[in-house]
Amino acid sequence: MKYNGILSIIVISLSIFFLVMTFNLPDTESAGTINASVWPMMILFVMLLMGILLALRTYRERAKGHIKEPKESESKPENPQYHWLVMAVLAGYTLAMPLIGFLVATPLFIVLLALVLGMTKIRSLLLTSFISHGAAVLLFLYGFNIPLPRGIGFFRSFSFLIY
Amino acid sequence: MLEGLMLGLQSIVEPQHFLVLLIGVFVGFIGGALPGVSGTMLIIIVLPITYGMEPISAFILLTTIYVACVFSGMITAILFRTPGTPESVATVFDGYPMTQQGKAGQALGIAVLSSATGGMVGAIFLIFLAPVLATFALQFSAPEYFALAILGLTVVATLSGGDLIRGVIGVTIGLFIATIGMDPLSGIPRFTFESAPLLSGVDFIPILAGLFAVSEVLRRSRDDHSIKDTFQKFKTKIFDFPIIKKILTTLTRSSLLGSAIGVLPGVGATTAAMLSYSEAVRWSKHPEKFGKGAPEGIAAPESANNSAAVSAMVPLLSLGLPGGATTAVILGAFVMHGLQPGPMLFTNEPQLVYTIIISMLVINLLMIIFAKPFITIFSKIMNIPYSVMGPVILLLCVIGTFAVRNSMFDVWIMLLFGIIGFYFDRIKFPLATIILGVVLGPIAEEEFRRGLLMAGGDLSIFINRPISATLLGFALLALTLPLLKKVFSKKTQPPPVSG
Repeated sequence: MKYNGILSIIVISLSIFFLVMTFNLPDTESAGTINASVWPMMILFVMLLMGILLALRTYRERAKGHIKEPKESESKPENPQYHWLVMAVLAGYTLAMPLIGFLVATPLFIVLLALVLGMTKIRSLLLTSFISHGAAVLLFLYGFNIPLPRGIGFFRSFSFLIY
Repeated sequence: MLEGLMLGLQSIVEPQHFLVLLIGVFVGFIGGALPGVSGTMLIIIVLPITYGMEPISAFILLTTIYVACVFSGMITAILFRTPGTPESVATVFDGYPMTQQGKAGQALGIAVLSSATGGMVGAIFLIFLAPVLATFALQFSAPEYFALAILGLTVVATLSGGDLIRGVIGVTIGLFIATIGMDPLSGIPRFTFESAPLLSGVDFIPILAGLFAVSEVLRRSRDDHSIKDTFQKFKTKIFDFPIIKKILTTLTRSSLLGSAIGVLPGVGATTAAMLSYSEAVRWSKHPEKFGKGAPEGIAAPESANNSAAVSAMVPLLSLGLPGGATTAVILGAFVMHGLQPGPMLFTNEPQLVYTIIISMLVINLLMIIFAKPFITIFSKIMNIPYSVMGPVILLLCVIGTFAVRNSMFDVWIMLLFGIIGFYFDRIKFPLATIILGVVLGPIAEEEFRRGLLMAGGDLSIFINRPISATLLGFALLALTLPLLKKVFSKKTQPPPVSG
């Protein structure tokens, strides 16, 4: 378990990267005002300092042999890689929504996600998808008039039949 | 103050407001009772819905959900050994053993009564303390607001779960995210990588939804997806007088302790519940009974967490300081509705403030009325599998995030923070510290720069003004105290025995 070590490297790298960007921000200082770069610079210096302190602490603990690394919050999950499936479905939904529209993408998203999360019966899948999609349409499209993506081409024309 | 309270009372009895209050109680009851749906997550989901509402209805809804969530978290804690909210963790210790002994109804009755009592004591604290603090804070200007924001950021010491370095890293991540976008004072784009959507900055809703809700669904997707506990039949009895007599002292002490702890920014209802539990054990004549189903073991954490949750609104309303993750979201909601919590809120929006205060009192009365039927209905809702809940939660997150700025870019940001939250959660990184930075960052930067503008660039303005200097002193103390404590406890510890 090298979480704190990895975390400190990421924090140090990111803070240095953004510090360099901060130094390149244009100068706007005039009497009484301060640059747009001063506040982020202060934050990034603290971040860098904390990253270094975390790295030093981790190194010292390892050298002493009593590592105080945080343990993973789970022991042995039943489906260790399923979070990637959920993420893939979510990313697919986000990609598809502007193309095929909210109306078509949402039932597909709910069915796929429910499948990943362990729902197997076709009736339950269809029912969950129908009820939650229907409720979302009623609440967000009709109730709150949120202009959810309509998609392009045919899907756009189709959406105008509903909202 | 009396005038304000009457104004609040008139406002809350308006049919529209009372209906919102009832909806809030119902939604909060369900959310708090469902493990995996925290009060913070629920408020994040509901937040976009409040955009179209007038501020009074919006804040009645948000604060009612907040309080009702803390209340109903005890149901699963007692019945399934699974706290619905973190605030109910200590309720498990004696609640679940009572269920195992076949006393689930009695345990739930104690919890309902204790929660309502604690909540009402907290509301009384809110009524009397908030206006006093607000009057004092009227003397505040930019340096004082900056100092307050810094004091708010020092909450990191308690939110970081004993690891201050990682906590400060979390806060700086949040503060840095808040700087992305066009600088409001000079108009210079910062860290936007020439991306047009980033010019308007990163909204805090996608960050919240990603870090808390999406990451939770990702985490749960790896588990077994059904709750397997069997549900036993029981009858909830709230007014059991021999039991009330037994827990009265614990109830009074814990309600007061919880209210006092809740007023302190950043300590929170979870800490209040744990502290009250340990105090109940310390003061008891039979400490050996705790952990085995002692009624006082339920009364102490439940009265304390509810009183703390309500009195945590004192620093939020009067000073604009969030006490924890949920109140930080509510603070964000104020900002989104164009309101700035703090002393001016009492002057500019007395009806809103006193309606919130009165609604806190009313919610606790409603809890006693609705708890019993809700627990009965809940026994059925608990059977909904996560394969239904998960997609619904994610759908609400996507719509909620999109609705903020009608932007798919924000949904991608939510996804990104979902992954970050998932991995940070696995290494027990304090996620709430990032939220703290994102919420307080813009206020801190703006007031810092405004303060310097007032003083012609002279930094000493922050320590020359008494209130600002005192607040910064407290901030320094809040940060250094845990470190000093650590140093001293190390010095007083005996050396480890070798061999």
